[in-house]
Amino acid sequence: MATKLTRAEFHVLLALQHGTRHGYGVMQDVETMSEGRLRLGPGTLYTAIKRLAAAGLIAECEADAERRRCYRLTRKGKAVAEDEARQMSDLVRIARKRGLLPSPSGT
Amino acid sequence: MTPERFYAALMAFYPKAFRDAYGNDVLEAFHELRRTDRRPPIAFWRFVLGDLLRSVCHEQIDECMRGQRRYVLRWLAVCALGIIGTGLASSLVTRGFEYLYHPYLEGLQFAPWSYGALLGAGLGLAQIAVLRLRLRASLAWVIASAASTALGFHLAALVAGAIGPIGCGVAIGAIVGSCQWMLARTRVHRPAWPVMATAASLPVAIVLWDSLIQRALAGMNPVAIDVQARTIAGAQYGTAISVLVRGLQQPHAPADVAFEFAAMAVSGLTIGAITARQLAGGHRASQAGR
Repeated sequence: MATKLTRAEFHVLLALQHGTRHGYGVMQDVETMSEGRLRLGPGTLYTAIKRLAAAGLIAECEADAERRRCYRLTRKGKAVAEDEARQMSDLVRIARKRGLLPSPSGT
Repeated sequence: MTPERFYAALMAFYPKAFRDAYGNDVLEAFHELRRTDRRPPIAFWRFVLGDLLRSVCHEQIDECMRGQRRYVLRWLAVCALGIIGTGLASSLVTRGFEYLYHPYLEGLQFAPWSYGALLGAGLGLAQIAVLRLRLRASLAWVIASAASTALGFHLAALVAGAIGPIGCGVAIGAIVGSCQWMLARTRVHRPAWPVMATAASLPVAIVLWDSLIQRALAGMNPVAIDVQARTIAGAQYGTAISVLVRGLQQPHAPADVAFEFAAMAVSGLTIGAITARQLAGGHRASQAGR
């Protein structure tokens, strides 16, 4: 994917990391994962899904028992999510070094 | 009306392609959210409507930035810029002449073709941004546009009193359109539409130009064109034009100048809008043919 992931898109990839989900399942997962700090509305969710699917980062899979469309992470999507997470991790490490965040040991 | 039906009605603001692909899913997610959400109704609707507004804007912008809509937007932009550019150039010429006035220059007259050359060059330069002709062809396009407009402007000026500014525009537009078509027919898919846009936009530009020239005539008489005898009253140009002419003739405030350029931009956009659909069809066909 040439463009950077938005916050919502990254969270959708994270939600799909644990297996296939339908749209509303992703919404719930994102809210749980972020401890209520990020709530995706239906519009934002499907805008993100559309972009991710077009970039080949997620793919549709067979509909669930209630015939809702489900999505799964593709290999490319997993690689992009890992890369994004690594970049964030590097930023956190720099922020810790500069004293912006406390170190994990609390020193 | 149920909340679902209300939400479904608001979804009409999404582009059709998005609605076709994800409309049912969005509606279903809304239904599930409404069923399980514990927030007070006002907080719920504020969240849902804010989300809808953001995603609609996102999707509409996304739709405009790609494919045929992008091409259409670019064509609209160049039509507007071409006319704004000609207006700007003419303003600079007339204002520059007033600034450089010297008694020795009394009686100096700019031939109408010089204004025509500026007008044609402005439009031609703007158009090649979309037509994407190769450099050599681009130069030829600008030169042909400038030369044909100069010729058309000069000839039309001779009979301007008889045919009026709109007649002048139509005559010049026909000359420029024919000249451009001869160049474009082998290089551009369906060249008739951009050329027709030029031909149609010129009458609008000419009316504006005529107003500018008359403004210059009121001061320094730089143009050898017998338009002094004609009035700039609303009776001749129609209500909208008379308002425009008033703004052009006596710009006492920045708002007048802003009005002048806004009017030019609207003219360009109107012309672009008339031809955009057909142009997009041509673009789609050429894409499919590749």
